[in-house]
Amino acid sequence: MGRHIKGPLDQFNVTELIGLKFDILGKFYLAITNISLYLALVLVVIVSIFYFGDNDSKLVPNKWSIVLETFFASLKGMVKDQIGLAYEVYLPLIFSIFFFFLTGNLISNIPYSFAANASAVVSIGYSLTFLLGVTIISLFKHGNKFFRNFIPEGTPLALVPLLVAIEFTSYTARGFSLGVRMFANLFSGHCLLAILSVFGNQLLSVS
Amino acid sequence: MPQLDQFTYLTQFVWLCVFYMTFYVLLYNDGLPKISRIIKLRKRLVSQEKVGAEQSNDRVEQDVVFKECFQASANYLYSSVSGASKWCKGMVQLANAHKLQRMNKDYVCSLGEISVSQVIKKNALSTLSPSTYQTTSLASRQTTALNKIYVLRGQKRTLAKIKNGPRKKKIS
Repeated sequence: MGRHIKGPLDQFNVTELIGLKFDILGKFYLAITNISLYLALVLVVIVSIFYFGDNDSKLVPNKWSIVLETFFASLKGMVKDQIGLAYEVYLPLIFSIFFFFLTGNLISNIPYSFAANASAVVSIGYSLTFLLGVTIISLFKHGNKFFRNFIPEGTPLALVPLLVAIEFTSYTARGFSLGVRMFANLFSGHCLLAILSVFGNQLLSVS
Repeated sequence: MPQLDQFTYLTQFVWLCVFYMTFYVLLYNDGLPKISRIIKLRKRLVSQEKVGAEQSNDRVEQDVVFKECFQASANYLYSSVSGASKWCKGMVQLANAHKLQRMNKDYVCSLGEISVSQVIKKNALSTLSPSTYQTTSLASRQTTALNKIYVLRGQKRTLAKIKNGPRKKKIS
């Protein structure tokens, strides 16, 4: 019974790897952790896909460049449907989000690896910063007309304060909820996998 | 729950920002332009081989093409007609100057003879019998200014002839 039993939640521990530790103001600290390792791994994987798919501007595509180009074409079509005519400005953003989280999640399916997107900071923090960024961009672009977003057309004047409150909360909650969706899915999925594997091992082993 | 260990929040967020920003910058500068360039190039080349570069140019340049066509045809017609008329005029002038010169002279002389003979007859009639001049049909025919000039010249000649005639008779 001296064996330290790992629970299913221990897989999400953020441990420091190399021990490079910076204490900022005695309270916050910055280190090279396993999250940073796996995020770097995500970056390396994506960059290597782009490197292999770089066909030297030949017309006939590589195997890897077929992959890249199908991703590009499907994402471009999706973005064009949603945003409309001035969509090309926002294509790198959508593309980067898509690829980053996709490869992060796929890497976490490998056994004994770490789910970088299962941490609350990465998922929810990303969605909140994205919401903030989008609000700032739209404020700069549209000015005061941005606040027309919160009033649906054709509402009677008496209902406007209530509706504005509701729309505003839904707008801010959307930033939070999108991150929570991904976080909850990954967290619960990996927890389930850990539990199943541990109990399956205990069930099926003879000891 | 390890996600709620607040002392890790700063590291996680900082590393996320670092790696995500590098990824975005690399994508924006290198990755996406390369892919989009190849796709656009391929689309353009394939469409040119299929259709012969007709589709994209049709709608845009139709008006310009029609205008230019009409202008060119009108200019061609005008230039051909004017060239033909110039040639005709040139040929006529040449012919009148060289080959038909004698014919023109004879024509003019014959015209002159006919008109002068008429005038001489009329003036002879008028000088010999002025009352009959006004009632004959010759007066109704010749009423233009040129005929008046011929009349004056004819009068001079007939007067000279009449003067010379009776003198010769007297002398002989």
